[in-house]
Amino acid sequence: MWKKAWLMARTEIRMVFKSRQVKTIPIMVVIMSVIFGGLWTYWTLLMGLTNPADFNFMTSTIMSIVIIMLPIMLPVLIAADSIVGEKERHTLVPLLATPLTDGELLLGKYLTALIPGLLVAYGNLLLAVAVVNGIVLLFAPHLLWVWPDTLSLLQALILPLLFAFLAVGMMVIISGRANTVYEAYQTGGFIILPAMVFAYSGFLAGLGLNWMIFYLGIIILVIADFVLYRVAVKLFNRDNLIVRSG
Amino acid sequence: MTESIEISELTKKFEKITAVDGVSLDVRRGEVFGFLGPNAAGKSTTVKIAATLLEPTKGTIQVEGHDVQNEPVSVRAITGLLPEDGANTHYDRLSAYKNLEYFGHLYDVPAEKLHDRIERLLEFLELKDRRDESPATFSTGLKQKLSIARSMIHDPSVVFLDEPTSSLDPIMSKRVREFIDTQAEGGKQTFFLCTHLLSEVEALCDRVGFISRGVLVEVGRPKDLRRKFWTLRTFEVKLTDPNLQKSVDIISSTGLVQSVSIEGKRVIFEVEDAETKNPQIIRALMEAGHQVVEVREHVPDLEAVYLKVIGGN
Ligand SMILES: Nc1ncnc2c1ncn2[C@@H]1O[C@H](COP(=O)(O)OP(=O)(O)OP(=O)(O)O)[C@@H](O)[C@H]1O
Ligand SMILES: [Mg+2]
Repeated sequence: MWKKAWLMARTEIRMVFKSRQVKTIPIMVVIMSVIFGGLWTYWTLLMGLTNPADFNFMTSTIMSIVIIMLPIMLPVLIAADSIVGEKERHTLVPLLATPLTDGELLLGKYLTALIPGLLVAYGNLLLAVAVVNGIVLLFAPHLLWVWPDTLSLLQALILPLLFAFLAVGMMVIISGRANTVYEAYQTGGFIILPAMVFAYSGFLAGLGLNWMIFYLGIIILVIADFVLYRVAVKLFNRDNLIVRSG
Repeated sequence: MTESIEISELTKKFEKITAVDGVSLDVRRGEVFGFLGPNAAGKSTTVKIAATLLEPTKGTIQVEGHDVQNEPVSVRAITGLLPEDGANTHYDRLSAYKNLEYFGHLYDVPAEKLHDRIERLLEFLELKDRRDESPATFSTGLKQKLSIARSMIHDPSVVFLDEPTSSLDPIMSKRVREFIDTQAEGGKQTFFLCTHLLSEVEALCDRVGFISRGVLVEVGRPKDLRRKFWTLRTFEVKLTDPNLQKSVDIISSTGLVQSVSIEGKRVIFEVEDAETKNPQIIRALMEAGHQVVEVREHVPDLEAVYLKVIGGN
């Protein structure tokens, strides 16, 4: 099962990165980490927010854009391109005619979105941590490793995974309706939106990062992931895919 | 077991339409079978079910003894499919070669064989010098040939070709037909060919099935179908005597023919049971002193048979 799914994902990953939209995200993410992350940290220090609690609060708030929001756009775009795009470009029928099982196909699609999504998210996390702490080391060494605190780190590690999973399930489900990748991108907005709300809910509630909100969010996301996965498995069979795409 | 494809009582219903309605049909191993029918007859739907892409509403299909519903993976492994509109089903982001290589991997073609097989297919289909280009840059005919190569990449036992030459010019069509013919010659591969082109069936197919509105109307060898639907045979007679009207009168007076007329410099007559009646007709002519130079049958082409079968339905 894994061998075939990996074979498929390897080729598909190579292909989705020929899409301009998909290619742009990693570049944007790196630029944001280095320039935005660096400038913001420098500015924070310049404004004199040098006590650890304030510094962590400010940095966590702003850096979640860079380490969560931006990276989760990647699996959304990839899933749209590889699932709805397959329909738009009429390549689905020959693929479905190969001896791949439904499970292998679906796993292949999950891997196609998850692998680059997580590589970029985690690579970017490392980069952002290095940039922020590099500035800190230069200008305010006592704040070294104040950010990321455990909670920010856990968020940055877990959320891209859960959202990437959500994105694939979502795209499988909408692929019956959406006929073009462009439509799928628009629907992808519905994933980014709750992600944003979730990432900022603590701040919106005036609590800052908050373990309770974190746990609650994770529980909701895991349930959503599971439900969407089950629906996707149910919809992801040949008869259904072919009947709906003609 | 000599049956390669066994279709029994196959029915497929979409929401409102019954696309295939109780079709039963056996295709023998090594046979080139032509599936003929007008638009919306249910040809593609039948092929999609056989290729396990759609599920039957009722009935079964077995491909080389594997049931499409119970062993779909085994069926797909030994089946090649050229889908309808196959020309537009390539990954434009991969080169022609990589497209074939990817499918070779998906079909579990051993790595050491794959390269040679791709080369051979590209060579035969004259795609070799375009191998590193994206199919997006191909003409429709080239794309179609790439689809044909893809459907054969794993040397399948059974190949379903849905209108293989629909987008090809006459020279390309001929080449593709020759390709199918060569492949079929070994007798190891079974071909199931959907088409509107009667000339194609005539040139390639061992047997043919006519389907209309989901119902299988006729199955048989082109020759037999012709005979079956042409009980009334047409002959033309060339005579030395220039007075053809007299010859017509003689033939007419035998009372053996359905009709007789003059066309150009020949006499044309229609007759049932030519085997016994033709000698009598000719003897009558000879006895009246008319010298028969030549008697030729007007063989109806498959198109005429087709129109008769489908029209009668
Ligand atoms: N996914 C689908 N949903 C609803 N109806 C369908 C679907 N696919 C095919 N049909 C209907 O089933 C019938 C048979 O279609 P099919 O494609 O099998 O015809 P065909 O013989 O291949 O025709 P053509 O020569 O035009 O390709 C048609 O009436 C068609 O509209
Ligand atoms: Mg068709």
